[in-house]
Amino acid sequence: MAYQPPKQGGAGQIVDSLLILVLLFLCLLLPFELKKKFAEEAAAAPAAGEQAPVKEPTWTDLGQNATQVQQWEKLGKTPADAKGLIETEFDFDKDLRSGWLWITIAVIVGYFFLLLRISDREYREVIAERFGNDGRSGDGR
Amino acid sequence: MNIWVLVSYGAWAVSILLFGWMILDALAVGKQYKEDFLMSSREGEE
Amino acid sequence: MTTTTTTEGKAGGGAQHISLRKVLGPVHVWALGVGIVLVGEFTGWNFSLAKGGAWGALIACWYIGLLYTCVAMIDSEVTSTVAAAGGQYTQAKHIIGPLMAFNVGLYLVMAYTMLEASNAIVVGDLLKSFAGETGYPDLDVKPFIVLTIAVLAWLNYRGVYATLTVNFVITAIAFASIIVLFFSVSPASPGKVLLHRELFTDLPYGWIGAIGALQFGMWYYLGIEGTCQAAEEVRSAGRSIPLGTMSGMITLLVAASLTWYVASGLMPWQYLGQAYTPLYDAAKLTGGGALQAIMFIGTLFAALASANGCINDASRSWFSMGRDRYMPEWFGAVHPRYRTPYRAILFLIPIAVVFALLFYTRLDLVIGFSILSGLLGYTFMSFNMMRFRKLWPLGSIHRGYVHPFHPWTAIILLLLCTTVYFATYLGYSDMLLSIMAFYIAASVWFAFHRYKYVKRGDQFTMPWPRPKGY
Repeated sequence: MAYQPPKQGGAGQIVDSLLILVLLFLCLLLPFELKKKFAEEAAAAPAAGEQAPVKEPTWTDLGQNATQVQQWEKLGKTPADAKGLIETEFDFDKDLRSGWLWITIAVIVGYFFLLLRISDREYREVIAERFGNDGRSGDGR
Repeated sequence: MNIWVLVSYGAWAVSILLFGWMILDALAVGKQYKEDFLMSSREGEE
Repeated sequence: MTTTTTTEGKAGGGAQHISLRKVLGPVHVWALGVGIVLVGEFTGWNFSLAKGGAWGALIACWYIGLLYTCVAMIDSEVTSTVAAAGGQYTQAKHIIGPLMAFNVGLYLVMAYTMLEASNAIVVGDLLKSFAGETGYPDLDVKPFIVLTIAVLAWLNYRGVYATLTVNFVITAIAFASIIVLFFSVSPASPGKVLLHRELFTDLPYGWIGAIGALQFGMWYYLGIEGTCQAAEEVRSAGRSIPLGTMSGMITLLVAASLTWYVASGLMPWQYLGQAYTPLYDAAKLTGGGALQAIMFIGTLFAALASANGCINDASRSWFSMGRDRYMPEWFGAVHPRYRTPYRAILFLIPIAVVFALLFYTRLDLVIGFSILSGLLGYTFMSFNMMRFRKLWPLGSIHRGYVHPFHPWTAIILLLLCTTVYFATYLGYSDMLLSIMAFYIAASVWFAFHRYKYVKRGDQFTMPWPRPKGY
């Protein structure tokens, strides 16, 4: 009466292990690589046109006070090194205005909703097999 | 040759040795013991 | 009970069976929990400054501290009742259902494997910076990343007792180094070494940035819930695990506060927000060569302890899934001499190595993957707690520990988790969606293909009565 699962052979086991790896790398690396490629293209385009000499930044340009400058220098950073760190900015307003916000919410909520529903269906099967399906469902106290 | 270069080669060599040892040991265990015995642990068992 | 020796098992007698070795005490549980997390004080937490500045990082430290207090309370109750190697995976299987359990198992494996990869990166980077100071700035970090993973995997392969005893020693040294750093910066007289007043700015992105900072605030504590993975190997799980987890949480709250205080008083937030080894840098700033050496060792040991604990936890989850055939059953084997889940340990090595090598320049991304997997797991814990009390009301089964304030802990945990999802979305939305895509694809694969190999009733191994309402 109990469900008898098929036995999985060696080849099947290897295929399944590899599949989950491929899935992982695909999902995590692909967006990262694509973004990097776009960023490179975007960076390459304007640089070709204007070859303006980059002005050497000063601490004042970067808005650092005397103490901050002192610590930056102790860390061995020149204004040119620090420029990249200081000027990397997040654009949270863009994130908030983006339609992706709603898509992301829908994806996460939908994911957990389906996860709990499907799990519940499978769980009933497990309980029925473990405790016997004697029609007294809910009366196992 | 810089000491760091030497240390780097050493690191590669030791890594390969350790990975090799583990793989060989896993293969040997697979040959020596029955699969059913290796798989016989049970969940939550005291 | 099952103390089968190797020679007996060799003949393959049908009655013999093998199990993981029960040798651990509360000290090992502490070493496993704190060992995994403590590296977060040496690196990783500071990425929160890039989003929220110094104040944002402090808010995150406390807010996420509350989240983890809920996690520790819930986990202590469920783990003291469900003691098995899979930890939260086994809980999910008994309380919510197979597909959830599969996902929880994957969260655990991914959270810990990514954390392991990030630790290997930290070790590599630390050595590079050290080599730079000895006049060799072009050190290739690859061999050291690979070596770190190789040595620790080997240690794990050879047995859990030695692994976690080593972890205890190196974690204790790393923790001591934070204390030494704290007392060496004249903490009682601000302005002398610590320059909070001069370095601090307003919230750089306003309150929205402070919320964004919550994401990396997770790194102060992430992994403390891993203590329950040891359940099958501790001598008395019902006592050791709550004790080890709670004392670990207190250690971390202390370490997190000290770390924030020292680092934010020494470095501008823009520097801290992207630094790989902030506490080592803090030692460099305060001048002493001896202190620098201590922090070098502290960072190194913390990273090693963490990677070590991660290999332990990730392999236990993977092993448990193999044992139930959620993953190929081949992974459910126990080593006859060392009594470790050796095949699971082996399989996870290449994943950690590849991630560490590919994402060497983006530590924040690797850490982000890990945080998000952890976060999904905490969301699960909230649902899990609700159902646990509903299906088996108090008194219907023996619980080792009953946590107070139910259902408020579960509700607060869910709310806190929701804000951290939002925090992750701020600035890392593409990563958030790609990791969701992975879990959704994996779930489809499990529901339509993998689940057919799983025995149904046998998964339920706890000696409990039928759940109420089923």
